[in-house]
Amino acid sequence: MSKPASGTSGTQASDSVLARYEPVIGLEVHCQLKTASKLFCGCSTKFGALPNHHTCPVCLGMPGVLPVLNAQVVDYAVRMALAIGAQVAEVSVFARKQYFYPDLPKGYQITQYDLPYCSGGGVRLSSGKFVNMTRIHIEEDAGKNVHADSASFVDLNRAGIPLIEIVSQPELASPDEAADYLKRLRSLVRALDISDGNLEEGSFRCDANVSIRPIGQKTLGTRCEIKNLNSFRNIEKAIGYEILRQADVLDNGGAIKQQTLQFDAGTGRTSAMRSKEDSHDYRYFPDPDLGPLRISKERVAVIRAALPELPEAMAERFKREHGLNDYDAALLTSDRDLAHYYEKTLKLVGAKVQPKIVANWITSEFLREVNTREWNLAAPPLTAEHLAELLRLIGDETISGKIAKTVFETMVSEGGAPAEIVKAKGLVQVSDTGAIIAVIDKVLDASPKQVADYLGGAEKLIGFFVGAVMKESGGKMNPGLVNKVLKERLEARKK
Amino acid sequence: MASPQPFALTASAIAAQVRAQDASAVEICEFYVKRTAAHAQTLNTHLFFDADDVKAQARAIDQRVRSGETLPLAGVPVVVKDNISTKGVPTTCGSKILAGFRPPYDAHVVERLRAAGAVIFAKANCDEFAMGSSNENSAYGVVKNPWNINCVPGGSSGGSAAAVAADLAPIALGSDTGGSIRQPAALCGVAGLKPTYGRVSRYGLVAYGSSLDQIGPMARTVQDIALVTDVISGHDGRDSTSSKLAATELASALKPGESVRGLKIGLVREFFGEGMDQATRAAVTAAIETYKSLGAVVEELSLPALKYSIAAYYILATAEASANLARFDGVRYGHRHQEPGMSLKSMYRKSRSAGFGREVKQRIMLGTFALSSGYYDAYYAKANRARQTIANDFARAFQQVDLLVSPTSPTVAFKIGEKSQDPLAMYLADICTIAANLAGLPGISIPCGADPQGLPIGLQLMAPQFAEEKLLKGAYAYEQASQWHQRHPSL
Amino acid sequence: MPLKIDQELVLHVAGLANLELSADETRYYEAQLKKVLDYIGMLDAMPDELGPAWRSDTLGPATLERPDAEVASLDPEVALAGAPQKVGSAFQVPRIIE
Repeated sequence: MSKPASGTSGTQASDSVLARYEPVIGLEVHCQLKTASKLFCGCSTKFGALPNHHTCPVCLGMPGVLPVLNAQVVDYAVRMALAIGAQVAEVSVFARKQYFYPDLPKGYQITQYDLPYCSGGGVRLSSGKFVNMTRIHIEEDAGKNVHADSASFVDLNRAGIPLIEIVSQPELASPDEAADYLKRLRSLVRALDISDGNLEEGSFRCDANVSIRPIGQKTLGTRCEIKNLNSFRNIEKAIGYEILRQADVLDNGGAIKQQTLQFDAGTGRTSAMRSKEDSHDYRYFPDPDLGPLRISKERVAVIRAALPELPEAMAERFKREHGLNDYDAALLTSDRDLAHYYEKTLKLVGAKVQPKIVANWITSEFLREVNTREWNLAAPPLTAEHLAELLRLIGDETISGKIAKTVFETMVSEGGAPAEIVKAKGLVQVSDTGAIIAVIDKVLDASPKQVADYLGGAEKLIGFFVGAVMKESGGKMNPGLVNKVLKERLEARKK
Repeated sequence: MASPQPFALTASAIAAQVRAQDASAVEICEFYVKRTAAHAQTLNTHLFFDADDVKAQARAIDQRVRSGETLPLAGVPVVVKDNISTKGVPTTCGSKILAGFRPPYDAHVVERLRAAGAVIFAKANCDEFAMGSSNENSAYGVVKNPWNINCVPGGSSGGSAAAVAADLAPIALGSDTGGSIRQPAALCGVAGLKPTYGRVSRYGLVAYGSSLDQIGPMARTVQDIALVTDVISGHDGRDSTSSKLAATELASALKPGESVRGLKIGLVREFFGEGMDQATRAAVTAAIETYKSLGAVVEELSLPALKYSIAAYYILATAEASANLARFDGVRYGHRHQEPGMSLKSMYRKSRSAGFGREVKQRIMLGTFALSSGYYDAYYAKANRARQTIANDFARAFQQVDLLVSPTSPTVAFKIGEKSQDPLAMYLADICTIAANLAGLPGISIPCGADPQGLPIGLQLMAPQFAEEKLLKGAYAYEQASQWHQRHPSL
Repeated sequence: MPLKIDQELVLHVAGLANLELSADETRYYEAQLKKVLDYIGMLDAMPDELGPAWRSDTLGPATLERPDAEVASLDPEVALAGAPQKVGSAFQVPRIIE
C-alpha cells in the first residue's frame, strides 16, 4: 500500500488535499444496550469477568439450543429510533449472517438484514448540519479473540451481548464532522439511558466508510472500511489519515482498492486486514428459530410517552428557562450525567443564585477538574451538594466570588464541605460596617493624592480604592458593602 | 405383588402398575435391561446404554412413587434418539464430530420425561444429524430391522423404531424433519407421531432443518403415543417457535369403541403414484376399506403442489442445516483435527471434513449452494414459495375432509446398501411424509399390514395443525379394528 | 435455471462451508449435486399463486420475547468441559492472523 508523503498526519488533513478532494464519510456505530442479560439468553452482560464466566449453552452455541429475544432490547432499540425521528417497522426479521470465526460460536451471527426494525431519521450536528440515518438494526455481539505468539484464545463473555448498529448515510464531510456526529450519538444514547456509550470498554464502537472524490465529481469514489475505532481521537486520526492516503494514491495515478482496514493508533496509519481478504458471501437467510419481530403501534406509543428529555430539547429548555447562552446550554447537555449534575446543583442552590452563575461554575471550574483529574461524571468526588453549598455561600454573601475559588481549590485538593473550609480557614466575609470604615479610612489616609484626584472628578479611581481595601483586608470584605461605604467616606471628605 | 409381564405391556400399563406399586420401576427396567443385553448389539440400536444408571433412575422413581407422587410415566423406559440432548450423557447425533460429547443440559422433552417418572433408558442410533431414510448414514453403523436384519429400519430415527419394535423399550423418542419418525415406524411396524410444528419444544433437539424439525413419540399403541405426547407437548419459553397452546390431553380423549361414523377421510391421489410396491398398495387399500366399514366417508382428492415437496424440502432443510451445522467447528467441543503448526483455516476444514460423514457433507454443500450469492432467489426463495403453495393445497383439502390418508412409505424396508448410492432413490423414500413437515401438520404412522415376507407396512394419517386429537382418534379407531400392532418380530 | 455444476462450483461451495474435499470426493459430489439439482429444477415449472410481494419471513406469529432477567451462567469448568484445547478458562485455537 502506498503511504502519504512524509510529515502528514491524520489530524491535519491538509488543506491542499481538501482543496482538491471531497471526503465522503459514513459511519456504522455498534452500540451496546445496557440490559441485564444478553440478547438471546439470560447470561450477564457485566464487563470484566474472567473468560467464559458469563456463558451458557445458548451463547456457547451448544448443539440443540435456541435463541429467545430479550424484550428490553426491543424497547431500548425503539427508544433510539424515536429519538432520531426514524420509522419503526411493524414487522422486521432476524437473519443469520454466516461466516466462520472462533469468536462466533454458532458460525452465524443473528442480525437483521433486509428488514431492519428501524429506518430513516437523523442527527443534527453542532454546526446545525443534519445527518440522515440509513437504518438501525438489532444484532448480537461476537466474543473476543486474544492473540498470543503461537495461539489465540477465545472468550465468549461478549458473545450474544445486545447491540444496535446505527448506520448513517455517507453525508459526513470531514474527520471533525465524523467525531462530532459520534459525540452527538453518544450523548443521545446516554440521555436515553439505553447504553453506557463507553468507548474504552467497547460498548460504543465505530466502523468508518471513507471515500474521496475530486471536488465537483458526482459519483462516489471507491470506499474503504476502517474497522473498530475505539476513541474519538482515533476516529479523527484514522479518517484523516485515510483521506490523505487515498488522495496520495489518486494523485499518483493509482486506483483505490475496496478493502477492510484496521487503524494502528501507535503509528497513526491504516492497513489492510488479512483476515478480511476473502470476499465474503455471508449467505444471509431468515433465522428459522425466531419468528418475525412485530412491534405494535401501541407499544411504540407507550415507549414514546416515556421518552426522556433529549439533549437538544434540554438545551432549548436551559436557554428558555434559565437564560443560558447557546454555548453553555450545548455543553451542559452534551452529557447526560453533566446535565443531571447541573440541574441538581441548580435545584440545591435556591433562588439567590442565578442559573447563569451555576452554569459558569460548572462549565469552567468544575469541568476543568473533570478533565484534568478524569473524574467520572456519574459520581464525581466533588458532589452537586457541595458545589451548591459553595454557591449558596456566595449568594448569601458569606464569601466573595474570589474567596469561593480558593475554597473550591481546597474542596478539590483536600475534600470537605465548603462551609467548614470557610470556617476553618477564617474566610468568612466581613460585613461589619464599623470594621469596613476603619480599613477604608486607613486606606484613604494613606492616599491623599488619589483622594484629591477622585474628588476632583477622576471617579474611575474608585477601583483603585476598592482594590487597596480588599488587599488590606485579605479579600474577606464584602465587596458590595465596601463599594457603598467607600463612596460615602469619599463624599464625606469633600467637605 | 403380581408378576410383571412387560413384554406384553404398554407404557400405559407399566405406569399404572408402578403407580399402584404392583410392579416396581426396578423390576420393569430389569426386564428391559435383559432384552437390551440380548439384542441391542445385534440390531445396533443403541449408541449409549448404562444399565447401572438405568437402575439408579428406576430406584429413584420407586422412591418418588412411594412418597406419593403421581407420575404419568412411572417407571416407563424411554429410548431417546441421540440427537436429543441428555445432560452428562453422550449425545453424538450419530456423528463422529460429536464422539464423546456430553451436553451440559437436558432437552426440554427429557426434562418433561424425567419429571413424569420415565427412565431415560438409552440413546438410540440414528442417521448422522438425522439426515437419512435408512440409518445407513450413522457414523456408528447401520441399525438392523428387527423383522429382517438384512433390511434397513428406515430413518433417520431407525434406532428408536427398531428398539420399540424389538421390545427393548415400550417408548422411544424420535425426531422428524421429513418423515424421520413416521417412515422408520412404518418400516419397523410400530406407531410414530410427528406432532404439529410448535407442539413440542425443540429446545435440546440438535437442529437439522429448524423450520421442519419436530420431536415425537414412537410406541406400540396409539394410546401410548397419546400418553407420551401429553407429557412432552406444551409451551416452552426456551423455544421461540413453541406454540402458546397448553399441553395436549390426548390420552383421556381416546375412548375405546368411540365411533368414527361420518369422519371424512381424504385419499390423496398424489401419494398413490408410481414407485409404490404391490403389498403396500394392497395393505393401504385394505385399511381404507376398514375405515369405510367403520362408517368413515372416504373421498379421493388431489393436491397438485405435492409433486414439488421433495424438491422444496431438499433446498429448505439443507439450507437451514448448512447454517445449523456451522457450529461444529472444533473450537468449543467435538472433534478437532490436531496437527502441529496448523492454521485456523486448516483446523476448521480438516476437523469438519473428518468429523462429518458423506451424506452430511453433501447436504451442507447443497444448502450452502442454495443460499449462496446469485442462487438464493432461484433456490431458497423459490423453495419457500413451493412450501407455501403446498400448505395452501393442504388448507383447501382440510376444508373438505377431516383427515388425509396415505401409505407412510411407498415401499417396505429395503435391503441394506440397496439405495445408498443413489441420492434420489433415497430421497424419494420420503415422498409421502415430507409434505406434512413443509406444512407443519401432524402426521402419524400406524401398522396396517405386512408384505409376504412379513415386513411391516405403515398407514399414514395427517390432520390440520394442532388437530392431534382428531388425528389420534382416527388412528385409534383403526388400531382397535385391526391386529397389526400386536405383531412382534421373533428375535 | 441455466446452471452448470462443475468442480469449480463444488470447490467454491465446499470452501464456503469450510469443507476440504479430495479429488475423488470433488468428483463424487459433482455428480451427486448434478443429479439432485437437476431434479430440483422442477421448481421452475411450478405455477405461482402467491404473487410477487409474497415473502416467507414476515408470516407467522410474532417471535417470543422474554423479560430481561439475568440467569446464572454455566460453571466455566462445565462450559469448557468438551473443549479440545483450553488455557485457563479460555478456548485455545491456532493463532488467528488479522
